[in-house]
Amino acid sequence: MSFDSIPFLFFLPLVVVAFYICPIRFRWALLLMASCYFYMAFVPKYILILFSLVCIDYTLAILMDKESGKLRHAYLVGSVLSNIGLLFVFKYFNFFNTNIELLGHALDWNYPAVTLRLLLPLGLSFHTFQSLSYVIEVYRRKYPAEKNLGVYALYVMFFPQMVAGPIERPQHLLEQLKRLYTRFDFENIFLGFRLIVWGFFKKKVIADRLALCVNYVWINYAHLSGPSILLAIVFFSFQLYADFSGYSDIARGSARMLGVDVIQNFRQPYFSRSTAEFWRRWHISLSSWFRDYVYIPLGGSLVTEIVQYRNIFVVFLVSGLWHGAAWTFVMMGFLFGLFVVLGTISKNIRIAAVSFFELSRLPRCRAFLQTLVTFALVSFAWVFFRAPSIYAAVGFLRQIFVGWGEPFLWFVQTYLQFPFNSLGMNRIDLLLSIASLIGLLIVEYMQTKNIFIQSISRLPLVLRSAMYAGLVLVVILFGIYTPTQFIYFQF
Amino acid sequence: MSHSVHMLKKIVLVCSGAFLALLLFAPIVEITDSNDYNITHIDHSSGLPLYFLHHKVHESVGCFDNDAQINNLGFHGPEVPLKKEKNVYRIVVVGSSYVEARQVSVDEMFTTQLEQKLNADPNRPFTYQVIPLGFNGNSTLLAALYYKYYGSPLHPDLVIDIESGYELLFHLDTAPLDKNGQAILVVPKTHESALRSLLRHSKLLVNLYNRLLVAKDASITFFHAPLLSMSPPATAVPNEKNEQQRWEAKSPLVDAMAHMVSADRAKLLYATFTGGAGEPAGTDEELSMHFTELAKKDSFIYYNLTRAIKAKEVQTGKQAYFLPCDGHWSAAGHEYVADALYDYLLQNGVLNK
Repeated sequence: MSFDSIPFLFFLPLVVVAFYICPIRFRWALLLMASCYFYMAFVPKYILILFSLVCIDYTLAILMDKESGKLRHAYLVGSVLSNIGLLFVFKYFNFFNTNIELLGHALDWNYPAVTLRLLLPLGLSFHTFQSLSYVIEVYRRKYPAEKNLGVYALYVMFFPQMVAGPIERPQHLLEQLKRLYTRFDFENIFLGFRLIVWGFFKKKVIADRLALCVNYVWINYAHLSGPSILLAIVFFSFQLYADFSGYSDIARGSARMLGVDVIQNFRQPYFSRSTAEFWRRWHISLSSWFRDYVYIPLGGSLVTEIVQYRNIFVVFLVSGLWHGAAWTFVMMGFLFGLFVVLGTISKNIRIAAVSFFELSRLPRCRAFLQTLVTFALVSFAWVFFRAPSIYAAVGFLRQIFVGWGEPFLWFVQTYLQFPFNSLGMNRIDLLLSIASLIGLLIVEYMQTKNIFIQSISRLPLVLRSAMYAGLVLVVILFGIYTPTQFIYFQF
Repeated sequence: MSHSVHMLKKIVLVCSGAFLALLLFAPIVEITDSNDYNITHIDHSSGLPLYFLHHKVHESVGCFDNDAQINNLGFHGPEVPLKKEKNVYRIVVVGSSYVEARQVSVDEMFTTQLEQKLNADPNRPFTYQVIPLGFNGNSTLLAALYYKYYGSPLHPDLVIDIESGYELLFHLDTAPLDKNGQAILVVPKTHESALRSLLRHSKLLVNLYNRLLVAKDASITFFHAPLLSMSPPATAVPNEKNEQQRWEAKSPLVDAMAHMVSADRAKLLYATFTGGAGEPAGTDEELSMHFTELAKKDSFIYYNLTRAIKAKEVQTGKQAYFLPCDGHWSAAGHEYVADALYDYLLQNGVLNK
């Protein structure tokens, strides 16, 4: 069941009501059943895979907890191999096999490639990583092995965040799921509702509307001119953000209604002033996972500069591959690694440039320029995220330089009069996209300054209610309700 | 007591806020929703929907922006003289949104162009009038009913019924049959409730009502069959009936139409085409084969427009449809259809009385 499907609007209130009626000791069982139903709404049989994974990790973690030395290490390796192995079979087997086949052809060696016709279980990358964090924390003796199989299964399958994160840690989520004592509180329901509506606004009003343009331009880019391509690149950056952060908001809101706190996955990432900062504010749960379980074990920054750069590249390349089994994602990871490394190397040069141009006297202007450059770099890398192939990405980027011969006013007139031919959306959709993006940026800017909630809470109740009702109306009236899927569901 | 007063005050304030939001959104939706909802009414003499006479209906989908001019009969098209003069040859065209052609101006409609082409030669014995009586969403049954109530009183000499593959696959109606197996042409019950017709006066309320209907359908599925709601939502699905069932339903309607036109001493031309959106391969062949058989049986003329439209597209390099933005005929498409019909009517002597 998708968060943006109508059945979810019935499912969630039913679960919330049942949750507060249910005796506390059975609440985990209720949530586990609800999570199973939620997951089975996609491909029912894949729940067996999930259960096997849960049983393996649960058993190995308990064994690991009791042992020490090599056997403990062996249990960890067994668990990691099970998780990564499952991910490899479903997600990466065909990719690796196809590439080996291509390599074989290049070497005149006829390697017969076997392809598996498997559908990637929904959210496999997310709950594999969540399971891994549990076994690693148990191995590191930072968290004791969970004795209740049902509660552990709920930790892996908790429906608000099982499909597309945030990727939780046992110290935060499992600890809460063991103690579901929350009493009914209007405050939790209201906060949850507010997050859900905001998430729907991002997904249905912004992301799905921008998708009209992005999809059209990607299909027809060979016949379109530079301004359309540039606008589609910018729109995709916001589409991706609104889609994924919208999902995270709905996840957090749903969990909040059940009295469970799920970590914040985004902190206004497009206001970042460097790509390194961007990754500290974008998909925080994944970035921190890679930091804690890959980057730091490799030595982190406490090594020579060269090794540190290597570590950065390793993290971003693996992160790229985590997103999908395709060279486009590897390229995206490489670009982000490159931007972060170049950002570190060029630090002194940039400081000198700031001093030379006396930009330190204009801190806002400097901050704006840094934000703009970061956004441009990130948007460039997202082209590879969206592209079906490296070849298409290059062709798409090349098209940016085409069709700039007309006067500026001609573009404005054409794009406003019949934007469909250039952007795949009508005038109203274009204006609504721009208006909703401005609204999003204003709210996000206020959130960076921590003044958003205070500003709202200072308003009289009647105006606050009007604002929330207005947001609900915007979602209902201006949402795009053709069947779509969250972008990150594919991972 | 004071707690309940406080709660009551809170509820009143929250409701006032929600009402304030509704008030604020009413003009916003009026501006942003380019669709006109309060444009049709049910004609009590026929039970069929018609546009309000002499209205302008705004149609904008992004690739076109048109004010459709509604005539004195309640259809998109030029004004129609009710009385038929002696030297007038009348062609009535019935069909769905393709004949209605709200996407283009009256001058660009294929019916207007056909009329101009026919009247261009002063040596012809008649003055030709081509009268469009198309209405969106019409099926074979509804096209026949529009003819019965609005076409027949105009005393046509030729009736053209234009059908697309879309109507065959997505708009298939059935009519009750009499003892002889003949279709009884009765107007299907309209789904327009009193509440809905009242809501049509406000775009905000119409939109909210439409969303509510979608939620209602989903809730019925969810509560009655929770496991069914597990499957992904479906988009437009072609009629599940197989070819034989489709034509068992359609044939009596075509027969009824042919009998009605024959009784009016007019000729009937069924013209079909495919190439819009959502038609699976083989639709054109299916239409062509069955209409050819029916034409023989019911003595009407059948013409498949598809090839002529495609040939014109290749010749000019301009596509006949607004696709992918909209599946209807563009101005170019109307021109192709007018040309194709003109050529067919003259070459096959259809206009001879």
